[in-house]
Amino acid sequence: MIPFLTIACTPQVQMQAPDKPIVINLNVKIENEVRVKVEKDIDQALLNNPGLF
Amino acid sequence: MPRKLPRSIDIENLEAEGRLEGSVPIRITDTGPIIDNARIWTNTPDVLRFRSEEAVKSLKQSGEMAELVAKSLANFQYSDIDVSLDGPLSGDITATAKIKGANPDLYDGKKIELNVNLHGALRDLMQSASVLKDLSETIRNRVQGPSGKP
Repeated sequence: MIPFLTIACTPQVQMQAPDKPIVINLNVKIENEVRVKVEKDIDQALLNNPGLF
Repeated sequence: MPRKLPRSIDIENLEAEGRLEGSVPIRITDTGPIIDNARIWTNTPDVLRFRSEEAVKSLKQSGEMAELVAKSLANFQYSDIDVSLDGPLSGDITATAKIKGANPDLYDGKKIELNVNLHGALRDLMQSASVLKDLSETIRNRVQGPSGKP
């Protein structure tokens, strides 16, 4: 079972003079995707035991 | 009220100390509730720690700079936080966060200014996280029994 939560980022960073802060600008777009991968043997076990869940 | 908010919104690996001020106005419309120019802020220094290996992995894929954000947040001593939220609860929300501070463990504690613009279905993301949590729990209970024994 592999969950994926993908977040697309467009990061940008500005390195400035030593006394200036590091400025990080981050644009985040939430792309929500959940994938459930069932391994073959588990898949078979589920097929053989339909009442398992 | 240290730690209460992160605990109540149940974000794993997030620890925060401090007090936030602000308001989150919710307007009820025919199409559902809408967050109407919510703003939350503080200018009292405190600490924010987000240590999630999964988040670091995910951000690494998005580039070096995104990884830098994750590293900064591992132990972020903030001085100012300013967050705004806008949009329908059931749809895409626009959020902006300006967080100023430093991580003493990173670049000798050099000041960092983090500006995040976020857009998307925040609610769906949080629901998926809770579904995944429930799913793994269900499987564990079925396979091992609630007591943890098969």
